[in-house]
Amino acid sequence: MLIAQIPGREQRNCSQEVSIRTLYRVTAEKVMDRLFACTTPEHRAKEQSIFIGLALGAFGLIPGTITIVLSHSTTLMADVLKNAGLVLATFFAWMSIRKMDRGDSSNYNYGYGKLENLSSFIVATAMIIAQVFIFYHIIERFAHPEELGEMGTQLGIIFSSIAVLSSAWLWKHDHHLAQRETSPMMESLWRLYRIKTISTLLVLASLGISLAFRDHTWAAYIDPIGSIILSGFLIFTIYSIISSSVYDLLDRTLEESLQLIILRELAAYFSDYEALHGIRSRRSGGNVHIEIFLEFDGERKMSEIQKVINSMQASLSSRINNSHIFIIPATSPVC
Amino acid sequence: MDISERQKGSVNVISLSGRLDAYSSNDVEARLNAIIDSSQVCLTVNMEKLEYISSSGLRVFLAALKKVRKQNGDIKLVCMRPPIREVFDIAGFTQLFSIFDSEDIAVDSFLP
Repeated sequence: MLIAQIPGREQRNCSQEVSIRTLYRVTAEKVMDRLFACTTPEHRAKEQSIFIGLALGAFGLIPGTITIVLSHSTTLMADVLKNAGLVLATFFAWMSIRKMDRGDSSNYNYGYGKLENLSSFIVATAMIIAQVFIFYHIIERFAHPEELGEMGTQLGIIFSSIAVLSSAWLWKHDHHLAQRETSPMMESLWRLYRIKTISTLLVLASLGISLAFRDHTWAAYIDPIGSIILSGFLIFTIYSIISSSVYDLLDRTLEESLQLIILRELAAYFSDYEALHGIRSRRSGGNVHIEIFLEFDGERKMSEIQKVINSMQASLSSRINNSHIFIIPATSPVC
Repeated sequence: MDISERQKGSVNVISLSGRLDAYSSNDVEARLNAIIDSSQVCLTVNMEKLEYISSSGLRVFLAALKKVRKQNGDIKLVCMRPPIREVFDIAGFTQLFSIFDSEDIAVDSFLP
């Protein structure tokens, strides 16, 4: 309907040009809203960032595959396989975040925090699979050394240079987002892009040396050696992602630094309760859930108890970011 | 984690050695509860040989302190190593517990 109202080009005046610009802007916003229809600007920024990473990653696979075919480089293949895993994982991450923003909260009363942990876990799984492929080809290449194709190597150098620049930009961008909002997903993604930048630099160096010294016999081994170093980066990334995500998925209690904050609060309110019957805590995505079971004087009014509860909740929430504090009156040990 | 118990007059002296973490805190909690349930509410905890205390350990002391204070008793802490003292400081527990450098002074402090 809006398009039908646009006057013909010959009839345009200044105000009409403004309205056309407005129309384009509104239409663009609608398209963006449909693509990234999120509840908060933070989620929108997160989703946009993941989508850009996904698009760039998927696009990068095409020239990557072409250069593998032309150059027969194991390092390039390892890099492309790693990136393919990353694209798949980023796709899951993007799907997860869309689900989190549009999901039916009545079926998931505690939110979709674990979906973030699950996405991080999927990233790690994809990278393990890529690692197995890389190891297989390294062994193969050491057994049968092969000279790299000149044209493919040159193309690989060009594409790797572009990949380094795009990865470095995504690394910086996602790191900024992860610092702004506690999120295991963004945390794992910026780390991945950091590794991707460094590893692509390694690919670049490996291809460059192989090309420069291609007349020497030993140059045939630079490519698989580069793959081995690349694998080291990958193993380190897999370990760091798994170690943070698995514990959260298994509802591990909060780290000691946060436990001490909770205890400090209980010490500050020591005279306001009769007994401590238990503390339960866990992480779910970027959220922290804490349940404190306290016994109160049976002679006190509920309104007084509620005042203490509210005060403790407010105080703890201000000290622990993204926390959901529940102080539950109890008369016997709970955990 | 080793827990030993002695009686010094009306005061029960508990000595802890090793690491008081999430794994050993249940044992310490059970031992303290057994002592408190037997109406011995004047406790001195000697921490000279305690190497480490986690939040779980601190929680045990907080819950025990609540119980003994309810029955007009107290828990006095003795010979804390500097790292343990630091953890107590961070958690704000040094405001709640009486801390002594000598076991005898801690025991005597229970006398009227």
